[in-house]
Amino acid sequence: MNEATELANATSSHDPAIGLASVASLRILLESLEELQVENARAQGWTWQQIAAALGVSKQAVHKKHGRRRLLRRRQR
Amino acid sequence: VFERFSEEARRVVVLAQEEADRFGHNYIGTEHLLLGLVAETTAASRVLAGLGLVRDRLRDDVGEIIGFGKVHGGPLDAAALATIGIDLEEVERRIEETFGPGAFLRTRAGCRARRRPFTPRSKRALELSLRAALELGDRDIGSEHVLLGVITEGKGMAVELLERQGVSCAAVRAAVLEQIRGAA
Repeated sequence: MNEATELANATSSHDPAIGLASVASLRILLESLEELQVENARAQGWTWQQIAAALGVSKQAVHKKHGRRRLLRRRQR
Repeated sequence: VFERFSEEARRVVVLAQEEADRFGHNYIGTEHLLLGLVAETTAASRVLAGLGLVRDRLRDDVGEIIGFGKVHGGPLDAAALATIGIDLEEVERRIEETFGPGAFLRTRAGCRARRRPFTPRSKRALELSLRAALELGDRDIGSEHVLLGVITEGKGMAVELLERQGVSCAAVRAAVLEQIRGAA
């Protein structure tokens, strides 16, 4: 446990400021992980259809979110 | 600016960011650059140690003069995540283990959350480190050039920290130039 976690444990989790901050932070982790996992799945040859099914969203949604970015990155290389 | 930075100098900038994190500061000032220069053994850290600079005193002084930022806050809040049972350090460690070093910062969300802007002075110091390397005819910017940049900027917190330990800019400059000449 580091200092931050110790301090957090001592603080009330009923404080909305802390509760909302945890949600915002979780969202950042989620977005980052999604990007890495989708990238990895594509690198391993997964189709958008398979990725969408695993994420529980539509193929259009996952392609819209991650498709263009990947193309851009490839172009930069 | 970073294209001509050596591996060591890039590492110094990363360490400077970590030093800023350690203090809960949401910017990278010359004080963090100085701490980054001495956090590990570098050409610059050897020069500064030779002049009698003590790293731990440097950290104590930063804590005393500037203080610690609030632990809460920032877009990625380790303390808030801990209240729902998530250990941010552990998550980041596992991400890097799976996807390689720097993977989290490579993503859009991670990069946005972790960005610490340079202060105008530390930005200027980095620019001056490039100029120092050019003037000395060195191809790459090493930690010693970053140190020269910091003291050439001349008015930042880093200079105050050095002077607190009785180390003058002139002494640093002379020692760095001697080291560079010795290495050539």
